[in-house]
Amino acid sequence: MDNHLKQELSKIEIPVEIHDRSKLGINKAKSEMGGKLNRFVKKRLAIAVISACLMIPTGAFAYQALLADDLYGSFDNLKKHAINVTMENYLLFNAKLDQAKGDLGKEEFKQFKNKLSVFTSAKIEYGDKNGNIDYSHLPAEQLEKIKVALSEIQPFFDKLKGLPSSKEILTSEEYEQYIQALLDNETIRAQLGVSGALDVTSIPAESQEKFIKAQEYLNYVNEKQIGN
Amino acid sequence: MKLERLVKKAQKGDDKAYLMLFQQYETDIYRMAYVYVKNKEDALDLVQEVAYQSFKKISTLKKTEYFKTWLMKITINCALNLINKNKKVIPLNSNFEVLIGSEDEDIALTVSLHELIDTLKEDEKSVILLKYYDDRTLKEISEILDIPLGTVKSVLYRALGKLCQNLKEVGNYG
Repeated sequence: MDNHLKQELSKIEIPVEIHDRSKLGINKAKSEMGGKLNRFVKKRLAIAVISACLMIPTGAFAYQALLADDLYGSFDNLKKHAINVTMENYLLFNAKLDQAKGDLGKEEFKQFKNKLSVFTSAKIEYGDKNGNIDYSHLPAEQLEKIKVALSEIQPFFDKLKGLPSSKEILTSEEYEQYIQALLDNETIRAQLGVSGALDVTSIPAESQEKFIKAQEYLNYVNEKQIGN
Repeated sequence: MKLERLVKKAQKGDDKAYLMLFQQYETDIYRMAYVYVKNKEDALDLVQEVAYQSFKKISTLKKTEYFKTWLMKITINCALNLINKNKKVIPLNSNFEVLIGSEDEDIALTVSLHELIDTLKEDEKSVILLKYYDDRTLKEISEILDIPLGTVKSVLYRALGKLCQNLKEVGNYG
């Protein structure tokens, strides 16, 4: 049976065109597969594009993670100048900036950051280990510059604290006095080399009165802001 | 070139490699197809169709050593599809068809081949062809045709029975 069937089947003549027909079929498949192969390439391309899309925002996020770096360069840089600054302070400051970015409009935040940079660079340059500046030792020109920056930036600080703008609720003289009180307060802190709460009795007699006066005035403005 | 390399190349889309590969089997495919469709034109169409379908699906072939098995399976499926399709076509003038058919008939075919082609049903042809033309074991046949081993056996014996019957009849009248 075995050989017999093969013998029988071999009697079926093979037409000459069989070769061309095979070719035709394969070519047809090939022409249709062109798209299929491309689809494979496209699939790879899509994967590459998607992963790139995922990577770019992460990169941007990592770059912008600390807004504070924009102002101080880096934590290490700030640390060189203000030894007592901790990473916690720095991150807290960054969080405030983040909040500012969210609360203020895009344009407003840009303004805020520009003004803040005047401030922060002064801190780096003149600040003590706590980052406080003794304004009495500053050159007059520099002092004036910081005063202007502070008076411009204070309304932003008020806004971030959720308080009405001190600049608006005070008269211009009062406002000037308020800025001066802020500077005096910081100057005394810098002179004493402390941060945080201050014990009045530890202040030298000549500065004590100035400090109390400044403190009182700050409280007065604060109450006015809250009361408003 | 070795079969395995040709298959690998073809799987990457190399049509020339696949043509070389396919040409080694095209006569087998043609003869098997002829047994089902009984005429040259349809058998040639089937060769083309098998070439088309197999190259399109070559990337799905996992084991290169099964290439021929796989090709035979495609051939049988294509042949059965064509037969089913043709069944739905009712010839307008059957006499005319027969006339054309008889003219087209290969005179070189012996009676026993005619018997094989005309008396067996499609499933019986598949089993007989795979068993005696392609030298497959019964187990392989059951895998290729996707039917249980028991069915392969019963179909085979039924087919052999028919062929023997015919041979006897031929003998009686001869």
